[in-house]
Amino acid sequence: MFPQGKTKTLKPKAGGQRESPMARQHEAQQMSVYEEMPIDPSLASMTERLQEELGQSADLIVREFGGSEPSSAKTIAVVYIQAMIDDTRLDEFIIQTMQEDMLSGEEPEKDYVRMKDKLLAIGIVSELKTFKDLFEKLFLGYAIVLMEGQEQGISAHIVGGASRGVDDPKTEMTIRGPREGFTESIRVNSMMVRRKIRSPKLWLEQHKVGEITQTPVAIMYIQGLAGEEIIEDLRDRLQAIKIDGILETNYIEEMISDQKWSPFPTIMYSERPDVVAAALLEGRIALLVDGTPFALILPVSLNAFFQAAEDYYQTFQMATFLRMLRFVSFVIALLMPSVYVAIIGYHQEMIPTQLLLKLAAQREGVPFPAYLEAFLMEFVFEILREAVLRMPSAAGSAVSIVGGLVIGQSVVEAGIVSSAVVIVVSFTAIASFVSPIYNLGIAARLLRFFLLFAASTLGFYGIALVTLVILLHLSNIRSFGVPYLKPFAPFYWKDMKDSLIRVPMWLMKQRPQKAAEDDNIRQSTKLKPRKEPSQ
Amino acid sequence: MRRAAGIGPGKLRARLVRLMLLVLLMAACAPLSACWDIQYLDQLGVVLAVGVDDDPKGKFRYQVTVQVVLPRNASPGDQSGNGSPVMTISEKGDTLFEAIRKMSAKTSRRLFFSHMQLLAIHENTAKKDLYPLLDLIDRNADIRSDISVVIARGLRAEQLLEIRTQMEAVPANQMKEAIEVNEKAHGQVFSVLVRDIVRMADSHLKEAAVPAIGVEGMPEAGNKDNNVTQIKPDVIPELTTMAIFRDGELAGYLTPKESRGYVFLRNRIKSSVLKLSCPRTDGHYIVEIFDSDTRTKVRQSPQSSDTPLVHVQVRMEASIHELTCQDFNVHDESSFREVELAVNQAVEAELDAAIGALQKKLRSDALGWGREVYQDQPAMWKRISGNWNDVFPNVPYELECISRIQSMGIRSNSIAK
Repeated sequence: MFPQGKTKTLKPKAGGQRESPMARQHEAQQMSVYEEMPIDPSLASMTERLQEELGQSADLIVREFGGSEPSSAKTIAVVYIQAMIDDTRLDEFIIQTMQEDMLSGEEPEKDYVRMKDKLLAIGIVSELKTFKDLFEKLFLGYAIVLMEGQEQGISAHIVGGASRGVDDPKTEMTIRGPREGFTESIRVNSMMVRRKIRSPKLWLEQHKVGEITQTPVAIMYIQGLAGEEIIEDLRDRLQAIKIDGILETNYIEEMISDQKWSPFPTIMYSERPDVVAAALLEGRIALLVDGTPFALILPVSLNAFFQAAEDYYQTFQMATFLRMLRFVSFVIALLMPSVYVAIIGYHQEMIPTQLLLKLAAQREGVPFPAYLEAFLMEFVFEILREAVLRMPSAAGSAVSIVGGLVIGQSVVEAGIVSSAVVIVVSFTAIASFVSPIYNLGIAARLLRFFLLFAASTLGFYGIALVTLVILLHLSNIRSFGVPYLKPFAPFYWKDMKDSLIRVPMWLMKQRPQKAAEDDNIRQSTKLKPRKEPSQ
Repeated sequence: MRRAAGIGPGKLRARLVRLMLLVLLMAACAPLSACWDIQYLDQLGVVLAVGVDDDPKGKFRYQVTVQVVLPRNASPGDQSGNGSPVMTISEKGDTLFEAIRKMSAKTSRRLFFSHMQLLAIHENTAKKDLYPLLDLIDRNADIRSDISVVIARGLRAEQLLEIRTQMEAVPANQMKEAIEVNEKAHGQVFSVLVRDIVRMADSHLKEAAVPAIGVEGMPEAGNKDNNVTQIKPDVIPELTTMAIFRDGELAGYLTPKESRGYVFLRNRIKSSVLKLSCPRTDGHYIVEIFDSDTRTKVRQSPQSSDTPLVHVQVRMEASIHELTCQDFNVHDESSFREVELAVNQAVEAELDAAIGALQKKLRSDALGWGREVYQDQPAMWKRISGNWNDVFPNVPYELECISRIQSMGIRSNSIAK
């Protein structure tokens, strides 16, 4: 997570720039200045220039080396950002080499080649021509070697520095299945995916997004499976992004998504390399962004948000049951409070008499009408939910105690709210957490209030109207050209294998439709387990 | 953002304005709907039973009593009170609806009839006419038509609805469920719903029959706390037999035996028990009929082409449940036959009694034989339907009972001596 201060200082500035196109142009010019600025052959002025450009930043380290004589001039400089590099490798493979006086000093051209090709015992070494190249490498954690009289610098890959190790995925739990989740480093993340798909066809295409942050963003796909047009389209949309900074995948998601106003996510995210790998194998495209442990997956349909990684790691019967449970839970999360309000307010004849009496007894003496009650409780619940999320964890238990006690008990006992509403709201809340991708739960959370409003003014008729609008909307939106309700509408019989139900692995003979028309065979057709012929 | 840039800022703004306008319009529509038919649960008086009597003063046609449930008292829970679970309100009027609307002067809540369970009609009122009472229920979309109809026998419907019951907090439930239990376990009455009667009335091919309810004890004591606080209640509603109608007017009641025979004939027996005397010694044995199927067929009588001959066949599966006969050999196959024969005779006697009562005493085709004739012998029906009421009492019939004893229980011979 980034410290609060940083985003705060960035945002107003970004906002200001958007208002005036002139300011944006000016900024862009400043950035491109470095492109035309060549490396200065004079080492002294070069180092001075560097420090000036960085505003004498304390973490810019410039280490200079020269001859053994006290008077001899410095001929080599090593430049790096402190704590972004690996200190051991810097000491062993760069500083030590410099100190061994292996350059003649008489032929600078030869010395430069010798330095680049012989002396630096580093895997990745490249030449730099301009300040732009130099800064790019410098801020990725490379060490830069500059030599007197040379118009090129050398960058050496000794990227290091503190980073979080590979850890359990925190948002997508499974009982059975891999336990590793993405980290904040894009290289580690792409490595984790590559470790699952060992194929030369797994292509990785890196871009830089963010005018100031220069954040590495990688498009990952399996060549031949992913649709060429979609990759092309994605590339275009990425390049069109002109923004100061990318700090999380959502910055990109909102910029490239087809549906700017929809509450439904048209791009999925995941924290799990296995989920990303599975998506790639289905012909989808992954987008990795440096600095966040979440990868974007696209294109996706609504169906994908009901598929949990675990569905494929346990028996298909159980997976099918859970799949349906999730669909039902989504409907409950969306509709339950509004159905309750509609029944209580308009359609009392629809419930069994005993239940009616029970509900009526609870409502006896409650001062608010049912819809207000439901609104209030939903609102209180949202507050609680947000509070528990944002609170420092030390204070979290206090919130849950107060919330549980006040809302669960006292409010009902005091007769301010009927217990039926508390039951409905808490059940709804639990149902909304069943969604394996948190994103979709959020859509249900917002739409719930619209439905509640419709139910309280028009009863079931209102619910039917709003549901119809939602359905129309869903059948109207697309994710990178793929209809959102695929495979239900348009209906693809072959894709039903992994939608409401999950058929056994040996029946998933084909890859999802429209992913890659020409090469559609996922597996051999003769995998159904058979009885061994008896001997 | 790429696309937004293509549209241009002016167009985007126009779109935004249109969107805002749409939202505003939609928001303005919301108060227009004004929740015109919203009615909250706690503002409803849920009526579970309606009783209809004659106006004792004779000024109006009916006196209507509604039994309104008080949810606070009726459903046990944390906030339950100690008062009566229901209350009754009575009002007079020439039609049901008139009386009900007059009740609004006495209630703080709107009466809500969608959950009505029971319609109790006093016998004297039923003697005048049944059908006008049902029109309101069948016509009104808000009222279900699966309401059980009963005849209050020997007491006013008003009194019947004022009896406090112990088993079910709501008296209407106790009565409705008593009918269902009796139908399942004994078969002396079966539940008749408003829609059944309306259907019969529409077809004109069958007369109505409705279960009757009386009381055990003095009806006046029913509306006392005592009736629910004592172990032995002073008054308890008690099912009697089926009441038979002729042309929508109450014609009379069947005896218990006839009543069960009638239920057999209507094929509504789910299970029942027969008491039979031991063949050679003192004592009795009980046979439970747990499955029964009645089929009625109409042929032409050999005497005349205008006389139908009704053939009734009853097939029963039964088992012995209680045996106090001394010399009864359970292991002997022939004793099974013996029992089957006895069962057949007993059931036949009941059927005969029921048909006799309907043909001779009540002169009402509550069996629906007219309908059977219409279905099996349409040509004949055309000829005789005009004076069916005169033909019916003399229709000849054949009875055929076939029973099968399936088991004698899990012990062998009786220990009774």
